[in-house]
Amino acid sequence: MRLFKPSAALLPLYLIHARGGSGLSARAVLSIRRALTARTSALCLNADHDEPRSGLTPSNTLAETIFALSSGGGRAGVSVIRISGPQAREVLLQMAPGRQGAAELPPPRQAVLRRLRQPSEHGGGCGDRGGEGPPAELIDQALVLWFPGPRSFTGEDVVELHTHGSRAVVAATLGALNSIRGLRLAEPGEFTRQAFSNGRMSLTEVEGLGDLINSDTEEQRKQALAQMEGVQRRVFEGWRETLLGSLAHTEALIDFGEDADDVTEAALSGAVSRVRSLRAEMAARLRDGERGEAVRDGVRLAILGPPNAGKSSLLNALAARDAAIVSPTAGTTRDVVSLTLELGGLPVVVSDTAGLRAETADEIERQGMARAAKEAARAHLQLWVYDALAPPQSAEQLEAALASARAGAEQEPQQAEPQKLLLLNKVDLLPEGTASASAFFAADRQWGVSCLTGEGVQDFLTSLAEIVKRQYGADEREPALVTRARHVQHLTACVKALDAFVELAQLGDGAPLDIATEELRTAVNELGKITGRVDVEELLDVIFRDFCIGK
Amino acid sequence: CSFSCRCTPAPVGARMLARANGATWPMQPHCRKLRKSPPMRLTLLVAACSSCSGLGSGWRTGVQHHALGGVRPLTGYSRVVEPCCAVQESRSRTVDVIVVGGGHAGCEAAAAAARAGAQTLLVTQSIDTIGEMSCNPSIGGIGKGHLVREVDALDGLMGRVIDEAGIHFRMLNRRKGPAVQGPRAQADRDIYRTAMQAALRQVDRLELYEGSVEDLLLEGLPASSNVAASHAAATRTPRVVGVRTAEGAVLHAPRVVITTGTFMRGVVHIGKSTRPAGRYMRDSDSVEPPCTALAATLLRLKLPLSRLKTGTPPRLDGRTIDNGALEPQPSEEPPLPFSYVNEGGTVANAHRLITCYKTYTNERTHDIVRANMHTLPDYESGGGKGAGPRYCPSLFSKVERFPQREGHMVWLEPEGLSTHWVYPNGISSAFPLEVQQQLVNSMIGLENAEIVKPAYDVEYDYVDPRCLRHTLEVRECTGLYLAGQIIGTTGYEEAASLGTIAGANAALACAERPPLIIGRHEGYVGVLIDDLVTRGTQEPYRMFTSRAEWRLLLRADNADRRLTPKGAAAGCVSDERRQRLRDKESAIALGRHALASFTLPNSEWAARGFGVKPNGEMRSAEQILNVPRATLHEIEDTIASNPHGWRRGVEPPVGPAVPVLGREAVEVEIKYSNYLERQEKEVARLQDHMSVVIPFKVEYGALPCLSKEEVEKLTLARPATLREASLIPGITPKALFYIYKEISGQRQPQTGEPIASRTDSNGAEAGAEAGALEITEPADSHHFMEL
Repeated sequence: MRLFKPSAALLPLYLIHARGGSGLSARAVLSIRRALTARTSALCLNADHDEPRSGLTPSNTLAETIFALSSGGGRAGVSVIRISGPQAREVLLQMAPGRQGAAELPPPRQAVLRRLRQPSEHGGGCGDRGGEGPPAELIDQALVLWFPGPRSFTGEDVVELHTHGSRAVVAATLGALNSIRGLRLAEPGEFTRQAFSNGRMSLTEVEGLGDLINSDTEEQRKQALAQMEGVQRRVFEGWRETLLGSLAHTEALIDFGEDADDVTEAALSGAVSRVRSLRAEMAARLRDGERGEAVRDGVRLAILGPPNAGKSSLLNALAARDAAIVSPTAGTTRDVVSLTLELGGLPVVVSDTAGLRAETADEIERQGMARAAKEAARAHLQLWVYDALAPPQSAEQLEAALASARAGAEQEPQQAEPQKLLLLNKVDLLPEGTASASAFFAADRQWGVSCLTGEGVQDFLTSLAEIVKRQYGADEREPALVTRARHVQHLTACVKALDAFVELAQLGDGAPLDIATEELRTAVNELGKITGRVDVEELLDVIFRDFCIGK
Repeated sequence: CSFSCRCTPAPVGARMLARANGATWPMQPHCRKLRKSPPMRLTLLVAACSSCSGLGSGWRTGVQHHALGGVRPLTGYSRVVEPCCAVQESRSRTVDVIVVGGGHAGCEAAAAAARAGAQTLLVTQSIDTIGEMSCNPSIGGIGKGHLVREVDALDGLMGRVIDEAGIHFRMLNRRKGPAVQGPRAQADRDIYRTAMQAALRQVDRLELYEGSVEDLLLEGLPASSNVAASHAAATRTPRVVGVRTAEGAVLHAPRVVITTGTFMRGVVHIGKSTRPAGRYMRDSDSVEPPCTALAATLLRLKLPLSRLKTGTPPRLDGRTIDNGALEPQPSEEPPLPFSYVNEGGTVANAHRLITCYKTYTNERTHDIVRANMHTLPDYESGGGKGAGPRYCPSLFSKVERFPQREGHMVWLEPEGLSTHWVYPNGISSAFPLEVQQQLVNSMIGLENAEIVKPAYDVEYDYVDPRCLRHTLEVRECTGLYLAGQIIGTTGYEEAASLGTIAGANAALACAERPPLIIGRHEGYVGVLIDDLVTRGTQEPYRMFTSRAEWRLLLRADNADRRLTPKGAAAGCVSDERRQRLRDKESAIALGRHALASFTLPNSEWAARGFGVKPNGEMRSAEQILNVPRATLHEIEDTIASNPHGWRRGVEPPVGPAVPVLGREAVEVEIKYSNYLERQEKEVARLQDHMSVVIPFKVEYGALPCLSKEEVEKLTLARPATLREASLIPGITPKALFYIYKEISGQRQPQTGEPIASRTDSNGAEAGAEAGALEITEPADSHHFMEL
């Protein structure tokens, strides 16, 4: 027989009622859920008729409990299968009951070795009960971990099965889980989603976890780990706290300024000065933000220069080096080709572009140049490659080359000014004993190489790695705060709102506090969006904490 | 009282009744010395009244009372007057709407119901005390003044009555921005009460009825003894069909609004002396009896009841106050009326406005407070400290929470034109009288002041408002509406606005017309109700402007433009007022046109002190008003002295460029046009999204990120639109966001940073959809897909 699971409509009214009050703690809700699950188990133990679907149970009940293979697919030493939700406990008792006949939970958060069995078809899903028929088919021996909610990753009851990592074992286990009523395969990221829903993680921590799982390089690992551990969240929430305080003081001046004698203009000027210093800090972090994104998404290096300077040869030379991790990807455009290197612990995305020249009649070439210009604009580093025999003479020369390429293409707002580096190629063609150099590049910003002979390429790579690391690495410094475009967007909006607030609040006596606080509210909201929370009651709490409010 | 203490026996009566009605109520003596003894159950001494059926009433104390017939008086109880059946002349009546209670909520509820077309009966213990101001003699304030204007916009009474009774007017926050300005007035208590009673008597279809409601007549409520029957009936919602009074009258109505304020099992405290009462009488030492039986009935309906505390300061003899030593605060002149009916005009007592004075508590006062802490009442709520309002703390809690403060402000507010009583605002605390006297005399100017009426606290039952719909109807009892302090608010204005909505909806439901629901973006009353029914409250709820997320739209100057049309659609606004609004709209259009038709070069504007660059560019008066710090007043002066600025073909107006009517609105709407536009856009987006239809087949269980609780509620309720979904209590903005995404078919691509920005803007919308400040950005699938 199958498990009888009451549908939502059949739940006792008091239960819905009880949960309607938000006064219930998460723990209380969980215990109610657990009671419910226990009751359904009891029900199926006692039922001895074989036809439970008597028109009361819909064919598809709401599957609450999810499971998935959490380790990588394919053959491996160990595979980890995770089950999360109200039925996790029941699944554990059913599939890995422990010593025969004595289905019991292992101690929380301790690994125990158990036999993993098929859920018995005739046992009503209640596990093999000693003596009643043959034990269900064995799947594997597994290490079993039991994490009762809410102290688990997802906040729900979680069971982890560490099975042998064969495809067959994994398939059999997943198949067995799938056959249990009320269980379903998790969607991508759903465990983390549960964790977020249950307040176990903030949004930035979730992002950090995602980055950590996807990290390829050392710097990415460090940054993601810090983010997941809540470094980012703490800073953002610290800021929010400060802003909330300022907002509360301004709001207090509005709502209580006429009646409570301690709510004075001093509260406003205090708020303004706090906002000012915070704004400066945010702006600094925003400038720094480029670093965080670079670590996460790679430092963008654009190879630019006149045609036939050896740009493509350089890319090939880079691609051929053993030191570099190379993954050549055909560019989305016909003529921008990118590959990713690991330099100084960071991913560096190198893009080769079409040669730039003053005039062309070829429409396709013009398109290619426009794309090169675009690539140049979004790069963190511009590597200009010139023939060592004809080094560029002035900065304007570079600008002019780009400007002509840009002509006709739609302009994109340039973010930070990219740093320019110079590579003089074909040093093998220089007369013996002479060297080539450009006067307006610093000595440590230019190199001479020969892509043909390989001369100087290793030196160049070493210096480049240093530059990248110095600029974007997190070795000595704290990890970057702003790691995503999303953060940049909200933080920029926040800074803008703070500027408007300061301007309005400083209009002196008669300053329109209503729109000033409106700006401050916007700022707090923007910041809250990064970590995922804003609440009006918090505001009132600050007001009441800091002021003695009379009627 | 059968116990040997000397307290009055009313609670005993209540318990008997509760028991008799099937509920059980552990006996808890309210006398201190008995409190330590184990809980007892009272032996019932109630017998059925011989001449009327059943147990009509409880015990009554105080002034004008009737008691149960056929019941043996308890030992020591001396005030039994007459049996219940020999009372009311009309034993049975049938109307559309009954309003129980004659406070600020009850008055507005009754008037609103009658305006909306229902035959209405206002039942109150005493017609004489209708419209009484139990605490401070003032109306309005920041946030609260907005509420009064909104009640007025719905053609309610409060605004007009305070214009009659006001004797000191101020527009608060005058210099802090137009959106947060709130009108406030102090009233002459007697005039207010008289004017309110007169206003009620003028309302068609409304009748005042003196009687003390003891019980609700309910249908479909299972008898608690019969478990099987209660199970069967649990699927049907009980329905209210009328009320029964203590005097034995049975009044029938399909809709009942309860507005009993602090009277539900009310207990008043002065020091350790505790009496069951809803409040003290203003001019005697006696109390007005609490409603106890009603509480038992609400318990039978399984409404969640708990207790709150509030307090009122002592009243002083103004002749013993030395005003010369104090800082005066005169009224503003000319006084700005509350009611839109009087906009541009004046108020009744404009010729005899009074002055308030200000004093401070000092270290000595605080020392007295600290030395006498132990004499404060033993409260039932708040863990013995009393669950009182945070924003209106007692003197004791001020001293306790802010020990470093050297003084707290105390306003001395005269209570009327024909009394010498003065209300000292800010020193409520129910110390014993002699301590109160010491406290008062410790302050400058009050050294010789005499207390004419002691401060007292009151503790009372309130119903957790989360059991209400947005119409203020009890979810689990058809036809029963609650409004005012009984649902956890505080303040006359909050009560009045809740009463207006509850009364109107009771009448509309009778006529089977669509309900009157005000959105959070439409009025403070919308914010108030939404906060209460979706979040509940643990302390007496007071309105602040910071509770409203669309604060710039919800101004005191435009409540009529926001709400009068809605009220008219519900049929509770008079033709006269609608005409008034039309006049105002055309005056506003006229004023805006005039400002747009007057232009000067920047150099001339700059020469007159406006903050623009002195060049030759032409700017209209409208554009100049948009410049920070420019005021309409200054601009009008400029217009008047520069007639050459009028555009050709425009006839300069004879009087001021902007008509008086709607003048404030013109100034704000031009000055804040950009901000208003932004908020209006947000609201419009909210509207668009909220009216999205949810297909019936949506499988909530399959949506990501919904909690089990949310899935259950949504599956049960099957809301037709996002708006309906949002009205289900406990449904979060995040859930709405996911439902919205599901039904709008927006599937998110799995990767790519640009998506993030798009989902973020959706996130903001989701927050807006909730219409609350709690913009919890939904954890978008994007964040999880990577895992």
